[in-house]
Amino acid sequence: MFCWKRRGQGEAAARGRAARRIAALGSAVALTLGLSRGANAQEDAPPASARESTPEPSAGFALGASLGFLQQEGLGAETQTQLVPGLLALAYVPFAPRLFLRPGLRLGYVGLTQAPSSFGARIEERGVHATAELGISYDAWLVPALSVGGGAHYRSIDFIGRGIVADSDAIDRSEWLGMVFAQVGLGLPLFRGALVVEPNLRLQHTFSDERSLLQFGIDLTFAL
Amino acid sequence: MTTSAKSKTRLWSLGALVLCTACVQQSEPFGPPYEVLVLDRVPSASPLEAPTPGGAEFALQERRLETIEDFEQLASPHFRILQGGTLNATEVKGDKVSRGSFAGASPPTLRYTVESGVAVPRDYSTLLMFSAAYQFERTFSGLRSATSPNTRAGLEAHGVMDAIFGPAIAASDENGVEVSLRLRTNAFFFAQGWQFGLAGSSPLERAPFAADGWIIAHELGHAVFQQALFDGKVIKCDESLADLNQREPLFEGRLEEELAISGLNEGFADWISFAVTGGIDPLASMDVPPDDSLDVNVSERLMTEDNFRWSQIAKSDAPDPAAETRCRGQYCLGTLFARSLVATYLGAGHDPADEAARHDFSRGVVGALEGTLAALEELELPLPEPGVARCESRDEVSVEWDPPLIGAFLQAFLQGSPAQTRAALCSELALRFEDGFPVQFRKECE
Repeated sequence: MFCWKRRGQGEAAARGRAARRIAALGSAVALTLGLSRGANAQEDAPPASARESTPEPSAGFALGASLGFLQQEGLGAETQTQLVPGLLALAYVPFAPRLFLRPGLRLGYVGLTQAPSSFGARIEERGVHATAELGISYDAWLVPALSVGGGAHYRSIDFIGRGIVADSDAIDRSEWLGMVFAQVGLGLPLFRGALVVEPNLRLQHTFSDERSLLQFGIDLTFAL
Repeated sequence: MTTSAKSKTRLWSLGALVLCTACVQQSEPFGPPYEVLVLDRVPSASPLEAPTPGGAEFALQERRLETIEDFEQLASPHFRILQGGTLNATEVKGDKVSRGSFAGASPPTLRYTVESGVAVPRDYSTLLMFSAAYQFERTFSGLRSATSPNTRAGLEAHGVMDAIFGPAIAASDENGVEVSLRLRTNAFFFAQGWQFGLAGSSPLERAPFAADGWIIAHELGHAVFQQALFDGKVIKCDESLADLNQREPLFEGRLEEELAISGLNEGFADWISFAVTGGIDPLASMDVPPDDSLDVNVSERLMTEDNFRWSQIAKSDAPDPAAETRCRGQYCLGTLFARSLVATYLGAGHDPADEAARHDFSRGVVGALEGTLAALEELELPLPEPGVARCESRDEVSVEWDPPLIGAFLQAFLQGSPAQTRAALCSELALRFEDGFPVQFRKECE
């Protein structure tokens, strides 16, 4: 009863809040783009005197989140898309003008999407993967990056039977798999590089699992 | 130990760890024969026994693959499992692709581990392919016993049958318009390529079709029909000869175009499913919601239940045929044929669970089909309808065009049937087909 009352009374207020949020979001996007342009213009075209006095860049760190869309071979001619959310930590170590070594760590979850299956019988695969990588990035208006990495994938496999199919644990198990990958990305620094949005494309191979194809993803990192 | 030796040891340990994480496939020798974990029907005391409400009809079970020679390819002397590829279908009749071409399939990608000598699948695709391989083995073995020697020899002469998982389907119409299809909830037989296809899984499958021997035996029943009736040949109707075809009762490709023959093919395949597996409902693992618009749920294919007759699938006096709620397709027509065969089998006092009796009876049925085409040539077939002469197939039963052809086919079929069950089978057919089996063709009922 209380809930209904609140919903009824709060309807107009909710509309107002939504409008304010949209306005705020619009301002944020406009500000972000403006700042981004300003920041990049400054970075890309520093005056000669400033260039001479610019201190050597030091190592930096970034934390963030990622979302991957991993294409996997399915049954026969089918391909399916695995949604892979994750966390990542990157370090930027300068080693040449505008060039940075970029070691990183990633933790991803696999299992939000499952292969198409019958109603009665399905096998669900869920797992996490932890990887370490080493990349190289070039600091400019846009930040291209190339990385290679490897790690381990822990996966649990569960058979689920329902309806006319008996449930069973005969297939259930967990496994550790090794994996390697190569990734190219193109980062867009925002807020003077405080925030980097990096769409990327990854070629991934999981040992004993030939199903992985390409992964399209996006990384969102915040400088520390 | 020196520092460099320690580093080397660490490196080797790391390498071993990486390698071991990859060791999830076959890790111990096994087979042949190969023991595998598959999804299979739970054996029941009698095929007629209704499953316990809420009870499981399928379960994971350890089974032995006896004829597989190459386990990684799931290939045997009778079949091989493939996946992918594209089927270009120019003519599809129910679950039979009557014209088209197929290319591009690849060997299966299997992921499994061997535990105590049993291959345990690690993903859904592998479970389906293991299960299908087991069902194919059983069905081919059953077919050897449930078919006549001639048909058996003909089937073996065709060589290895491709069983293709999840092919992409490209269908094109007579105008060359192509559409890409993703078939779900279906299995089909492609006679021209001697290939069997299994579409990807769907939530409408109460159990995966690949694990259902009743469905696989039904599809292979089409191969038996093709072999027994047409001697395994696929003859194409030539539309450029439409004028000639119109004047020729048995022109080349006519029977392949006739809905009546296609329907009888479906019924025959249902019979083969029963003969080989004892299953009485090839659609049992498919979740087909009842159609409330139908007077009776005529889509049901239970072979032991008479819930409709010819008069319910072929009314002629409907004021608005489009608004009719009856089943008019080939499957209903075929069900009348299958039910007549099963009723004759049961009427002869055989037990549905008696595999030897089913096989023995089936040899007579297949033998009768072998002689049907020759007997049809002796009979006076009616001239084809104009559409069929132009190589066009109908989708609905016609009270005008189908009964003479059904009658002639059934008479020819009965002439080759075993004498001891011929009259009984004729009566069962007459009971169900009613006017669809005209009286002048019921000579064998006497």
